[in-house]
Amino acid sequence: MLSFLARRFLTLVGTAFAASLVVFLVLEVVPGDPALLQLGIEASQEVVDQRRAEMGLDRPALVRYVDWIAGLLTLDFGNSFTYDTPVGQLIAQRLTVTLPLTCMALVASTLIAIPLGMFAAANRNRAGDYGVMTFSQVGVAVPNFWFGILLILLFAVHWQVFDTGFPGWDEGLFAGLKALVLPAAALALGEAAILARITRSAVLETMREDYVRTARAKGLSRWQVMTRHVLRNALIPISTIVGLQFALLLAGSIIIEEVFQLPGLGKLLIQAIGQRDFQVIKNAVVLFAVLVVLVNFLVDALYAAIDPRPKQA
Amino acid sequence: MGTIRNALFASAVALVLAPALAHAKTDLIVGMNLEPPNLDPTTTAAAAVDEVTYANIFEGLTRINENGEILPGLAESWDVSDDGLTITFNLRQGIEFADGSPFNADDVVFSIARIIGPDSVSGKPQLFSSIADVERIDDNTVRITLSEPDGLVLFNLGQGDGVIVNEATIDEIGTNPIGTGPYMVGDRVEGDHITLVRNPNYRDPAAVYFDTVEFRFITDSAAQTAAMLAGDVDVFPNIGAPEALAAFENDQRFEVIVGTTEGETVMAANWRREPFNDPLVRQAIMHAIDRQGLVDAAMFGYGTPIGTHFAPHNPAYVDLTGLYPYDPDRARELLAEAGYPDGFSTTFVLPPPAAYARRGGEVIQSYLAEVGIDAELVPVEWAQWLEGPFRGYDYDLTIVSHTEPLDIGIYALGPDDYYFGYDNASFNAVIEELRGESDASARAVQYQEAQQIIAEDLASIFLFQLPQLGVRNANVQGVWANRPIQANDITGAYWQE
Repeated sequence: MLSFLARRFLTLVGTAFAASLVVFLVLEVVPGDPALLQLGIEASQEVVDQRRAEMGLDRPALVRYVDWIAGLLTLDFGNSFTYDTPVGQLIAQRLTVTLPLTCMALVASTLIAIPLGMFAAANRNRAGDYGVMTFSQVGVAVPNFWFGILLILLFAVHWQVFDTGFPGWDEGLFAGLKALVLPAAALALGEAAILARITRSAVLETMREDYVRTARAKGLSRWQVMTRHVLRNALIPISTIVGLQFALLLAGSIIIEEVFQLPGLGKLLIQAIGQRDFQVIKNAVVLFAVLVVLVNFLVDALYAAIDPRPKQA
Repeated sequence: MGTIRNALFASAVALVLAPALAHAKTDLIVGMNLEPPNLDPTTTAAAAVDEVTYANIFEGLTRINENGEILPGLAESWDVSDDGLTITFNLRQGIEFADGSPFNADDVVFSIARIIGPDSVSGKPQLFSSIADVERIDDNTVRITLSEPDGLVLFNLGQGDGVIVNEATIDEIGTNPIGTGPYMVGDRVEGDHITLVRNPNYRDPAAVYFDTVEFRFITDSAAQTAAMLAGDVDVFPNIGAPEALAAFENDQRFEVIVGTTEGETVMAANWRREPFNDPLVRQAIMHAIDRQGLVDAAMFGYGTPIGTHFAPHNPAYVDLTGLYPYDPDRARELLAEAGYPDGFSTTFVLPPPAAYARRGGEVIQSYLAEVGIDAELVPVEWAQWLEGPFRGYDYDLTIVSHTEPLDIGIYALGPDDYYFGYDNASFNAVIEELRGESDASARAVQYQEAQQIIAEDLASIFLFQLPQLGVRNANVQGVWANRPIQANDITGAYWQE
């Protein structure tokens, strides 16, 4: 177990390092001067140069990279060019929107997809199965940002049961969660559709196993077999997908936050790219990478709980 | 029986609703495209900073109104010396900053000294480049000395960049600005909104209509429309997407606001490059474009065609659109005369604004194709536009709206200092005269002369004046329709009962 953890930790460090190198190099070659963007078209060259120096952009690339990594190790992310406030604080504040959003979407997609997939498997090649598969096909095909706009038009504009935008957590837990319902639904649809298909095939696969027939022969009801034997075994492939989906949902949150105008990490990142706020971009990208690796690690740890076999091997 | 029950129900509803109707709303939610990075209008060029703070939080010595007129602000009057080189401001008395500290001449000297001279912290130091010195005469009098007469200095002091700030709280001006205006910052969620609350020390508490004014930042045009339609935003002074207005025009809950801006939308054709250095080619391009057709197709009919670089609502404007009118046959003749009987190929760099630049670019491309000019569209981000065409002078054709007020002088900056690459000594001489002229009618004549020169030369391909397009809840009154400076001055706004 210890060596497993150590290996995982090395993967985490390696991924973060690779991500940092890639994002830094991309930002080196991308056109656009953050100082000029900030000061606008009327600014004189001296003022622009002075601002570049304040941003530390007049130093050699290697010095800036080493400086950044050294800062990362002490959790000092520097100041945002745009807001001139610590990047760590900005990101932490934005995560209070993005993480709840992603988690809500993940929970919703899992809670919808697993029962649906099991239902479809249990009713294989019957009307219920076709119904679920049709939903899944549509869900995969519909782009989430378009579905988001549709939800806004129906629930916020037409029926006005939800508000647009995000009130902030200061307005209370309920108001905050309510504002995340539509975006989480938009985000969850596509993932739920995929997960329902995966669940269906995983369950079907497991139902063919000998121990399922044995369990049935032993006299267990269909329901008991389904929950005790089939689902537990089917959960191994399902949890792999759920883990991968967290990464997809995080990526999807970038566009969904833009559609719903939520002040999350994705919206911050898009804005930072437009404004060439290198400080925010590089740290946010590394953070996204670290989050994905961490979740994959959690999923691997979860395997061990679901299926004890790999541990003994 | 049913009738009685209905009547009872109706009166119950009326009872419940009555108090709500009797008291007009005391809050306002204003939508904006971009979020201000901080709240210091004096050091930041970003328009969004002025749009939140101007007149609402900070005030200047002079005050610009909705029509671009110069009114008294923190100075109740001023005297300009005969040589035009000194301006003496008489300050209003009995004014306090939002933190309760008194306002006097020292604050003015501190604020002006910060934005002039070689150590200026101003985001737009060129606005104040004529100011040589500022001195305190007594508690309520300040004198400004100019290095040369400057007809625009009173206007510029009334912009967000020239407002009076508070020295004691200057270190936190970016996050907690303390001004003399009716509002101060209450709450801020970065990336989402800033809420202003009443300034308890404002000189005229009865004149402050709202308890809270929230500025909400919505970048996406579909989300802007949805927020207005859902009633979550009360007014969007500058909605950005003309196609969205159709949804509001036929809806009684809303009023569409169509006003003017200082934005001359022009297509720059690089003077440094062939064939655009040939006057015949420039004339051919201008003849090829139907400006009204462009406004109709790209801007859904909103916008005024221009023939020079000047705002049509300005009294000194000359309509020169008839100089090189839409005439594709004439355009083809001119091209042939210039040695391009079969036209030529070029590139056309388009910055991000979806309506005037991206859609406008496509419309212009098709007009040019009619006369044989094959323009390849190159859409870019602002960062790329600034670095390529604007700073690097690397472009054939590009389009942008020049939104600074009275900025015809940019054509005198010369090929070394500006992206146009235009150079005309007689134009430069007129601009030089203008700088030293403070008499309004003499200035108007010079402005007209300047307009005429660049129009004949086709210093740029002049397209149309950008409109200010907004939407408001039909019951919100007193919102600026025009955009003479970068501001959302809501100090005169209120809910109609």
